[in-house]
Amino acid sequence: MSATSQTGNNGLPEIVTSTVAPKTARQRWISAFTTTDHKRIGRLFIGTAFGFFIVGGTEAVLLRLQLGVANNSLITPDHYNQLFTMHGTTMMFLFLTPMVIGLANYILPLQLGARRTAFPRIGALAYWLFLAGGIALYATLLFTPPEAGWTSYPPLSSAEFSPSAGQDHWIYLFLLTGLSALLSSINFIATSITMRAPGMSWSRVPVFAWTILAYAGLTIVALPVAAGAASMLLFDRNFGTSFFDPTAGGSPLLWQDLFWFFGQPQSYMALLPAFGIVTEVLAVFAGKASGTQKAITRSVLLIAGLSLLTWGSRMFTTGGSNTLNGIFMITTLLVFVPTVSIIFSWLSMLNKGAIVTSSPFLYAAGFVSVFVFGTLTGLFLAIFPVDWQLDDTAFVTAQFHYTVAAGAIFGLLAALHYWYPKLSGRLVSESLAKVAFWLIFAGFNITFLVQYSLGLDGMPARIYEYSTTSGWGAESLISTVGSVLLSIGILIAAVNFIRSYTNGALAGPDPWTGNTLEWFTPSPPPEHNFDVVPTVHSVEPMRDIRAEIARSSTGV
Amino acid sequence: MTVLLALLVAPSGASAITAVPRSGGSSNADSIAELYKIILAISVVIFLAVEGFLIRALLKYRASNGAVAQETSVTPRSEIGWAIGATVLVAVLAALTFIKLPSIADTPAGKTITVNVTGRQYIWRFTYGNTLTSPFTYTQMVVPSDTVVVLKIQSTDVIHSWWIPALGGKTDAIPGNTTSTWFKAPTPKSPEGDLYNGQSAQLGGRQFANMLASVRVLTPAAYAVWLAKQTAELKAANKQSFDTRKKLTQDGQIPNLSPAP
Ligand code: HEM
Repeated sequence: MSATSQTGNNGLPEIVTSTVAPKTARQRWISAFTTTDHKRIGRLFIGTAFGFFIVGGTEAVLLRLQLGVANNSLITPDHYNQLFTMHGTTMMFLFLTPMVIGLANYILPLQLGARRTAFPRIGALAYWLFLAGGIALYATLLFTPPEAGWTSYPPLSSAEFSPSAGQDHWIYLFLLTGLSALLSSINFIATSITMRAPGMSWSRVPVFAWTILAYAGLTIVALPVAAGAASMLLFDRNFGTSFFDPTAGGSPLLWQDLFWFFGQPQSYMALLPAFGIVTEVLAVFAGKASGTQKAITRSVLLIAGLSLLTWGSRMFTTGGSNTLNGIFMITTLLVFVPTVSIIFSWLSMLNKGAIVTSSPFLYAAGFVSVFVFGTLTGLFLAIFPVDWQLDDTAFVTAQFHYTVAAGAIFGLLAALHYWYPKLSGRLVSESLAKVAFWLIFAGFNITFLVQYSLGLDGMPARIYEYSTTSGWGAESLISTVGSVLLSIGILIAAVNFIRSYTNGALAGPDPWTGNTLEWFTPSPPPEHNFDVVPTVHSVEPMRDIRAEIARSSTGV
Repeated sequence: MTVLLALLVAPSGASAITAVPRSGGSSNADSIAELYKIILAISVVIFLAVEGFLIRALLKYRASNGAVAQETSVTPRSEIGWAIGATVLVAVLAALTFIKLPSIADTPAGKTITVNVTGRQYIWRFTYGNTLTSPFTYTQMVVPSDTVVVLKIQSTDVIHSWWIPALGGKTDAIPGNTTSTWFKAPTPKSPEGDLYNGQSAQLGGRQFANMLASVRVLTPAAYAVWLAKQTAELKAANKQSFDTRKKLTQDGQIPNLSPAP
């Protein structure tokens, strides 16, 4: 077999590194800023994004504390609007997307058997742009944060109704993080095209890598449209144009079309990598190879394509023609078809498996169980006359969190638990991880399940108070209690990560008996990743390598 | 957990879990609720089947119980099967929607009045007619029962969303556009009329939470009385203001005089 030419000595990899002179403290500091190593960039992204996750979560708990009882005066109306704007914006653009980008930076080249990304310096630039975006948004804490929601609908977000510079900073954040995502996407696509290991044909590319490609492709198609809209809003606000100003012939609905052309796929963009992660984790912890992987990959690509045609489903209440509403209903319902295929593939993967319930698996299975609920309740929002009742209510908040935020919380925590040993070289405490998981799982469902009911009962999203006669008090309080449990769970997970970084048991290269090439490298991998890049013969090369090692050590 | 459950069923005005959107004030709201219930029934079945399968697999196939993994691969056949199943399901849902749509979207024939609804930060204004002297109210709309009420919805500043849940779905109030919806409420049980409550559903600024709205439905006879009274009062007020202005102008205190109402 051709692998023997690359892996001498009975199929075992040769060690070809020489010793590297240790860096001085000063060199280490400088290299922290100048690094182009995809793994260090990945870690910067992951660490910073996790920090923003904690910040956004804190904002969410403050929101829930205000809504816990009727007529509460804990938070003023302006602060309430600022908090949900900051929460939504932070979670979408400073946590979810950069966490996906961080994981992709770290893992994608390893999975592909590459020693670096195609454009290492662009990869680094993307991080600093993202950080600049985060600073631009949070600098508004010094004056007035934006308060028009993460969707920033004009005219509310125009200079007339949102005079503070906070709204301009929201636009800066959008453009900076958008550019970061765009550059990263180009880097991921170029890396995947040009730097795959020998033998890794497209059909042997692992599912996580495929989902990153789908994410990157969608970003490149959809994001520039919204970036254009954000620039137009900036011009409207500062340079006297009137793209969105109805009093001067502009159209507020134009913003909604352009924003949702990106914003609706954005929800899927963030979910697709979560699908990839969950697929790999379920396969590894159910002891299966990826027999379902091709079906899932096909469905992921189909969702990516269809999602570009669904933006109108966010605009059913704007009084457009019902023919158009009907078309968007059908495209949105069609997304349901590949989604079903993915869910059933996961189920058949678990069926007749040999399941090990380690922490990554718990989060992945937790994702599947809540995501099924989110998908089914999404049907109601796709059926446009029913959406007329549900749109802009707590029902939408619930459904959004059961899908996108579930992908972010459960999917990305599954990823972080799964790849933590690779990143840090150490294992997290499993018992602490389980406590955290069950708190998060219970807290999540308690927080958001009742929100469906509140929405059906007439509670709009984004209101800062409600009266005692509304009848929303009991469920709101339950939701608030749930959000506290949820955030305690997240904090325990964070503590676990931090403690295990120095105290965890050593993981070794492949603690989970993984299927993909990242587990071929030491944990954490050296700067050049692979001493020898193995030749790939299937979609789960680590199985082949393990089999080869077993063969050679038994002397067959 | 028990505390939470106790809270759920607690009396004292606290509502229990709501599983269906409100209806009962107008046939379009009723149709939406019916469509909703069909989807609900279908999704409950799918939900129980999928979660049941998931939980069974999670409990049964544990490595710690000595389970041995059997390789699965999704065959093209099962993939196509799922796709056909899901497509049939969404086709049925889409078909049902289009069947129900006329009863939700189309304004029924019969006695009709039009009310102009104008949203602005943070109050709704209702104008009963199209002239400057038409009667108007704020926050509470008054309408006759058993009459089709067509709403022409506008905004003078930011986007708001008109929504009285029991009377049907939302319609956005968009500056520069006029959108429209309708409802037809049943005969009220009491002489003061029936009251339907709602509030704006689209973020309109800081006091958006208090952009409340209600609709009071009177019998057509009571409505006619109400409208006549409003018209007369408005006319008297306009007349009074005209007279005052006229007097002030004659006294030379203000220069201009708008035409008589
Ligand atoms: C940590 C747990 C979380 C809690 C307790 C939470 C809670 C909330 C609440 C209560 C609201 C509604 C505010 C309102 O309508 O008045 C909200 C809105 C929102 N959340 Fe979360 N959330 C969490 C995580 C996330 C995550 C992970 C994401 C992103 C993927 C996310 C994205 C959003 C968005 C986009 C909004 C809408 C913001 C807006 O109205 O402009 N949330 N969240």
